[in-house]
Amino acid sequence: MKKSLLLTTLLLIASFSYAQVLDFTSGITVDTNYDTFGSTTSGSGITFSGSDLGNVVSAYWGSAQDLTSWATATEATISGSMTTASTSVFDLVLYDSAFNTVTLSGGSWVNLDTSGSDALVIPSNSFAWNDVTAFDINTGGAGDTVAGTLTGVSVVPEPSTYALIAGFAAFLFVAIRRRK
Amino acid sequence: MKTKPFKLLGCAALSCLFAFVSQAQSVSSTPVGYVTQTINAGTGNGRVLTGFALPLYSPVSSGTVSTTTATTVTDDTASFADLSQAAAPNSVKITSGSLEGMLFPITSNTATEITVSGDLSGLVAADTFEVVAVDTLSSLFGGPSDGVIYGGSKDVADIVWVLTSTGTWSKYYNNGTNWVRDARGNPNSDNLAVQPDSGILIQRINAASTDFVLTGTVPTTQSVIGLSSSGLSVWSNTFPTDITLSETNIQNAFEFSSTDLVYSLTATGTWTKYFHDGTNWRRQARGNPLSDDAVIASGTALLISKASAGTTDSTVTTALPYSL
Repeated sequence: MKKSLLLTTLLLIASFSYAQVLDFTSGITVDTNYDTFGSTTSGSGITFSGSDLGNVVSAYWGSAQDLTSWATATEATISGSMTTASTSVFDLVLYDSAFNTVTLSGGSWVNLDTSGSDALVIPSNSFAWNDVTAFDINTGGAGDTVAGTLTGVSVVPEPSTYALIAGFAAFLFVAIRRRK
Repeated sequence: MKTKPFKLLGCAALSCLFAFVSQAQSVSSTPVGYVTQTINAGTGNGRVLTGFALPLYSPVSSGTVSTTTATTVTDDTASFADLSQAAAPNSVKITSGSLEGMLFPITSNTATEITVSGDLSGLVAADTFEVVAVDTLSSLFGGPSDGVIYGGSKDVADIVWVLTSTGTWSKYYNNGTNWVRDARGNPNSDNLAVQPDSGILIQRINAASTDFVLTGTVPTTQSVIGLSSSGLSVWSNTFPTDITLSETNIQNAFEFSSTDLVYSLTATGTWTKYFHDGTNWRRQARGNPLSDDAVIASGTALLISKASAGTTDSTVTTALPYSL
């Protein structure tokens, strides 16, 4: 019984973690209709290179991504590495299957270059987070070069989510102690 | 970007204008006033663009064409002063006739004759014109101490991007003393003219926005802005009111095609792209949403990108979006 409860706890935590990662390293296809960098995919992520004046990294997944846990988050973290970084900004637009969008803004190529990650602001919205099918990364520069590889986007759980997990773990701990 | 229908603020003369317009009456004098435009904040590490145009202008005199050639306009009744000083340039704005709305930089003048760069073919006797004062980078933005722009080292200064006639960008910033071009030797660019119909991009890294107050006269003619036959062009909303993408009339410019793109900056400083399918404007994104009514804010600038080279440069003619 103790083992099964622990396993349940681990699965619950794992499910939270899994739902919070948007993976660019597998199961993803560059959308040549909208990608203007000529990006490519590999196990390392999405690689792009070109001018930051209006170019777009665009890709889609074979099946809808369930990001339900992002609905209450306020900040996401995009990860990757840059070979050439301009000082301009970028944003990430997520699409659902009905072409509704949500825009995560505030990305900086310089931050991505220096730290391998950068924060994106998630607006409050009514987006279908359980039905994310595609994304665009829009550039905001005026013609400098950017080049790099993006590996994915994750969300740091809100304090309330941590509290929920901690509360559930405490409940299990008490239940196990009582059984002893 | 502000999206108010009108950004004409606080001026009694303009209040009168609104009163008159709302009653569908005409005014007897051209309204003057000021507009407040926002230069968007950067992120501290990332530079955020602002498309910037001049929705008011500064006429200094008006006249009627007596005679003209392809590069000169003569007003026999005029007594022009020196209109082509480097630090105080001027342009001719045609206010009636087939060239209405077009601007021509003044290269030299006599008391009665003005020589311009550009082609005045089509201008005829009895057409009317204005001499308009043209700002320079220095006169428009001042220096860092004026509070509009950040200056100093290139790393922290606001960068002004100007599209050259060859379709490439030149970058300028204020080094704390002068406006300079970001190029070998940093040439002094204090006197770089910013024509009333031009659009520029301002790229700010500092995490504070700035309100820029521009004074001048409300335009009373259509706007006519050049469109290069290839590559990039900048189109600017030179009216003190927001208009729609459809109202820009870019779609009817000569040789503008469904493969050409219009770039508009979002509030977060990234680009949204539009194309015209022959019937409607659409956003270049999944689903290609209808975008005829996309708002092009007063005093902002768009980029127009030609997908393939056309045969000749042309113009975008935008009707005056209000009555006076």
